[in-house]
Amino acid sequence: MAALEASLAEYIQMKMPAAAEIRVDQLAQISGGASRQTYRFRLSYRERDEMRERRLILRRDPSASLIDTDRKIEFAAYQAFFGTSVPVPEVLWLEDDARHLGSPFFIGVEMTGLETSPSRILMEPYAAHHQKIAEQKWSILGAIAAHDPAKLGLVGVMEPVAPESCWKRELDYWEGVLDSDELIPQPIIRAAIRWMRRNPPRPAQKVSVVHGDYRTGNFLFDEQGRIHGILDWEMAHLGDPLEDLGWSLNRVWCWAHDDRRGGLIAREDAIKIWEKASGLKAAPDAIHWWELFATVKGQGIWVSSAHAWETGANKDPILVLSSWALMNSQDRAALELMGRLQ
Amino acid sequence: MRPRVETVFQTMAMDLIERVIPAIGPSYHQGTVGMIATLLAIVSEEWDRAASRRIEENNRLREMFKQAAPAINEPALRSRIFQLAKTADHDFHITALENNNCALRAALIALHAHVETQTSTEARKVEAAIWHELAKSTERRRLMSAQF
Repeated sequence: MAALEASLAEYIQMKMPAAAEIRVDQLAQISGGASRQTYRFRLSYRERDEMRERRLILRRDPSASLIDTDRKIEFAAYQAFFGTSVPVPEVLWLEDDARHLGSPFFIGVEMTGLETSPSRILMEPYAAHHQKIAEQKWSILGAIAAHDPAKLGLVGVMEPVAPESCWKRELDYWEGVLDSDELIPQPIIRAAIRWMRRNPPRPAQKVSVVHGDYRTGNFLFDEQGRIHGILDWEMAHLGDPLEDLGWSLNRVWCWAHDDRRGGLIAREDAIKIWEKASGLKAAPDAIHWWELFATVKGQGIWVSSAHAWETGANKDPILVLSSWALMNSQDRAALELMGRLQ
Repeated sequence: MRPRVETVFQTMAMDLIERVIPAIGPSYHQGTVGMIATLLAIVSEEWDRAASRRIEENNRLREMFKQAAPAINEPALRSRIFQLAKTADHDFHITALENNNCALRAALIALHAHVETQTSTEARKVEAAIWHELAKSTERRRLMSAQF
């Protein structure tokens, strides 16, 4: 850790040439999404004869991760939404050159004293605020959908897609992940994919920014039930906003082991909040397709995590845990959506 | 093995959660140990049923393949399904049972895709049997700790 602290201090000195006595300490790795190594640290420095201190976050690429993503897109998404109705932490520097810290990374501001854990959200004092948290959670998701990607400056950063092509691009991608990474056959998800291709959804009402992993566990909340930051934009892309809504409703995020989505509220209530905030409609046939898509995407992620662990690319236990704990639940979610769960 | 493996793993998992994690400082390492404890708990649940559920599923798939073969119009697939229906589990190591299960489930995907394109009553019966078996397969794999 001392070597990484020294390298960080050296890098930040380069980015803040006017600062003096730069020091990095209290570096500690934290859980922070599945695709990057995440650390918190304290930065202290002298500026105009005054000592200053900031709590920062380092997000560094590992050799292989649960999700293959582009850090430039993640960084751009944070930048684009900072200061808007979608709360996100401020990001400071993006670095592609691996010579500084051993692999590419970016640095942002830590939002301290907050919680993200899906298991903690079920406990007091958070449990008393589930309705309030849910209202914000799906309103913010609606706000992401309502934002114009062009005005956010993200059209040139994220790959464009036509409204009628959103579903096919995503389904092709995740079926490809299953084709390349599955270690055991997946008859349920393969059947879901065949059904989805025979019954494509209507074109997207609009092309918007899709967060890509919007769920309980990926936002920061406080003890009064206020959401302060949406995290983990590593799978952000342009697409059908119903994709995010479907993902947020995925059964594998029913952390309370009941029907409440995200461990918070009923599915229908979440959809109503989202519709009001986004100004869009979640037509039953369309949201059904995207919920089923969420099971394909989920299984793609769990399959590729198992593959990464077994091939030795990454030995983080989360890769095994997500595979062992979620694959069968994901299959059951697909069966339920296809009316085949007995 | 005595003490029983599932009991040992369950106890070790609880030890990690109740005694070791509180003694660890940085939250990242607490999280890692918590995940290892959960993996031990999953293995403890899976240990006793691991061979049984694979043998049961392999036999059910073979029985289904026997019934389904006449409904298959495609010669290559019919031959594949017919051949697999005649197989049996002779090696009861988990890896061997798993390999047989993978061969059967891969063929099940092909059979399912095939009967979906057929309009006959026999095809519908096979399809219904496949869905029934797929639902049962998730019951066999279900974990007590699963969200769904």
